[in-house]
Amino acid sequence: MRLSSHKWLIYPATIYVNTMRSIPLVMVILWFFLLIPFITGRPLGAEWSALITFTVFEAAYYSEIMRAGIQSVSRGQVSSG
Amino acid sequence: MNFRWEWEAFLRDTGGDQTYLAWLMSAWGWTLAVAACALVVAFILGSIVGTIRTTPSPWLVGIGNAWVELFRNIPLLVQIFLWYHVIPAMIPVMKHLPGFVLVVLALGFFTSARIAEQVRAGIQSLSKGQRYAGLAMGLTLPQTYFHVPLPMAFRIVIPPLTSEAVNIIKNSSVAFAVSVAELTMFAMQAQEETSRGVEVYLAVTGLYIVTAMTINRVMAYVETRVRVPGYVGGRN
Repeated sequence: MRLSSHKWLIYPATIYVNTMRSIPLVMVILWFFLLIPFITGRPLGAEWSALITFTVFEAAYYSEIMRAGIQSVSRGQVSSG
Repeated sequence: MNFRWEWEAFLRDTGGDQTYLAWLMSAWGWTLAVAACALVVAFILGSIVGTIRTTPSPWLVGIGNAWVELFRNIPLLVQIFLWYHVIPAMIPVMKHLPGFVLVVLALGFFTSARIAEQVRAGIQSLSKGQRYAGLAMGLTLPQTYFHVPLPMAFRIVIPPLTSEAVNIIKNSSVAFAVSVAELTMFAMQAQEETSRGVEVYLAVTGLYIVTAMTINRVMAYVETRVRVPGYVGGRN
């Protein structure tokens, strides 16, 4: 999404990645614990919370890796495709 | 959802003689202090270890490798507990050190291994001919390092150093495990005391983001100031 030519795709992706990358994992876990009972009305088990938080957090880092990987491929290959 | 913002929770008294806002600011200060001190430790140690890993002496390289493997392969939280509980028990002199110093040492040593890797990569990315040229000029090995590869290597590793600086801010959040009064500690305690979790967490998250972005911008500025024409990032 960060490589798309549509502004509305780039902005949410960039905000998501930059936010996740600049706050500590502990804060994400705390947020998750606070918000899930707030939104759904009932708490989620600790294992599930940890699993989902780690997924959400690491996804931001992997998205940067994927972006770098795609960008390292020369532009000509996309054009030729 | 019937949620009401209650930002005035920050103006409430904590029971001591300060408001939550004042506490938040002092927590931010602690985070910055831990991170800055640890960064200095990490930078000095990391530069030394990274440099000796590129020397011709197999003993020095071995020591450097062992250092990096040791500190990179133990989780940070475990390291902090080791520094906090195990090392003072074994070395009596360190019993009287405050938790702050121990956390700075733990974070600093952990990050020094990562910086050492980056410095080593930076030095090795330079062509060997540069070093040989320095030695051929009659410089000793330390002189060669100081005047030829190191100045270039440090310019090359500025981007990874930036992310290491941001990382150290974020990693300082584990210091709450040994009760240093930094931002994450504040977030947990203030949330429990005021039960205004969303506001408290928003403020803390905002401060982390502001800090990270500031480091990012400052380092980008440093990078453009010190770039050398013809090398990475210096096109003209």
